Amino acid sequence: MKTAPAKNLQSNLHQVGQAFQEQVDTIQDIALLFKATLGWFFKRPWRWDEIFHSVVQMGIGSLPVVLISTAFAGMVVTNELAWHMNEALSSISMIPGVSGQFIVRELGIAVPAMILVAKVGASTTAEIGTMKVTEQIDALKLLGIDPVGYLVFPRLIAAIISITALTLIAIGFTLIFAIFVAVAKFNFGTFEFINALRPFVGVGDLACALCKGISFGILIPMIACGYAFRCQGGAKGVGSTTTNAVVTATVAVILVDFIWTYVFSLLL
Amino acid sequence: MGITLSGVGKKFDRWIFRSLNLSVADGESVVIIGPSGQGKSVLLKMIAGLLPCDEGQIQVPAHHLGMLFQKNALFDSLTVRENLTFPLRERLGIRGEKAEALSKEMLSAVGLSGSENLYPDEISGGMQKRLGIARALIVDPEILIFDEPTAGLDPITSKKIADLIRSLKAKKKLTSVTVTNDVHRAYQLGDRIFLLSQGRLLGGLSPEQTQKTEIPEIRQFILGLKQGPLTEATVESGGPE
Repeated sequence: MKTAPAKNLQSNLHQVGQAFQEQVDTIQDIALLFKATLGWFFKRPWRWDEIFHSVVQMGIGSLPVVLISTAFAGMVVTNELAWHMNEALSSISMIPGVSGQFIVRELGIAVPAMILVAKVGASTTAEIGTMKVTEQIDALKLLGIDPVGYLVFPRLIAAIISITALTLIAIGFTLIFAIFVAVAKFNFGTFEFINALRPFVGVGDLACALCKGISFGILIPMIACGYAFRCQGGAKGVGSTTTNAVVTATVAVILVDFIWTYVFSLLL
Repeated sequence: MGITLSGVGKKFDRWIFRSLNLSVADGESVVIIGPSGQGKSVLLKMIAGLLPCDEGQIQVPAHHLGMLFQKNALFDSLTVRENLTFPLRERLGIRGEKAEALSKEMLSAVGLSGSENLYPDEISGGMQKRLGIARALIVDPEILIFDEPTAGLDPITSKKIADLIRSLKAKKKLTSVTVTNDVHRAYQLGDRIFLLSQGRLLGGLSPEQTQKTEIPEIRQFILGLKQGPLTEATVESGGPE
């Protein structure tokens, strides 16, 4: 006969195993969904009205919050770097190069990506998850409409367009506010800052940003939709599925961010 | 256009039911009653082609099949009118003025005129059911499937909905399968009534015969008796509906 602690241990291990299996199943489903969604690149009709609607919702809808966040991120990075440089090197002349490179390669991409995971990822999972639990997806199937073509593919196209565009806009906006602080607080001239920045930032850095933006544009909607299609239960189910989707997408974005950074560090 | 189920079974964590056989003749109306958690809704979704069979096969020759879902499954981002023009466009390729005219006619038939521009969450439960019925009918189906068409409605609205289904069904001479827990609506809607319990379909009798039957499970269910073959464990076995 098993003792109580042994039973507890067995029960805990069982729960961990179940959670792990659930994650593996979800990742498999996301991969299958991605494959099915890619198939829609060769099918017709493309639902342009849905794509346009999603671009407006994801792209234009996220623009204010991305701009506000990246503006503050730009100001923070100049301030922080200036303080550290002053402490370590007793000079702030390297601010344009260091902050510019940091913004173009990482900060201007990571900050909007995290915001878009929270905004686009959460809203997509909640919306499609609710459709799943209220049988609206079954109703679509009964009408002969493929939910992948109707719900997922337009969101994927819209997310690639919106997130890539927002990434590039965010980089520009972060730089502008980084320059603003450098000019207002540390007495740099605007053109002086830009000229000092040029040797440190090249086409390769922009290519890196573009690759990251496109990757996030694929990852965020696919993870969100993958979780949503597995959603079960009522409001509680939608809530926990949305949380899990956001957590997974956040980890995935950081992981892919690292992979691209590593690849471009070898190339540049 | 009839429906034939031959040795049909469905398994999730366990077998919900196995070896079910059922034939629904052209124009016939079959009602399936039974305790919750026995897989009635699962069976309907299998007939609709939304869930696969784990054994046996289902023959549904109709190309156009309409379904009223348990939770209505109305498209909540579309207005009442759009909930009807959308299936017309997607399923039948009907657009523009013709779609508008057809949707207006259908809304009038189900008593929803004047609600065209409201969203599903802005109308009452009874109106949502009517809209669900209208959406199922607008694609001109040969077979209709109703999953708990009167669930959650007050008795008066429930009777109105059942009357509406009967009249629309009779007008179009449709074949239908209905799942309900409401025995009064089952008598009203069914040509034959079955009880799904413990993985078996029992009965298949007319409403009059069902009321007089001595089949213990059916008798217990329609009279709501505590004592009988449908034990509490059976009734609350909690399988997926």
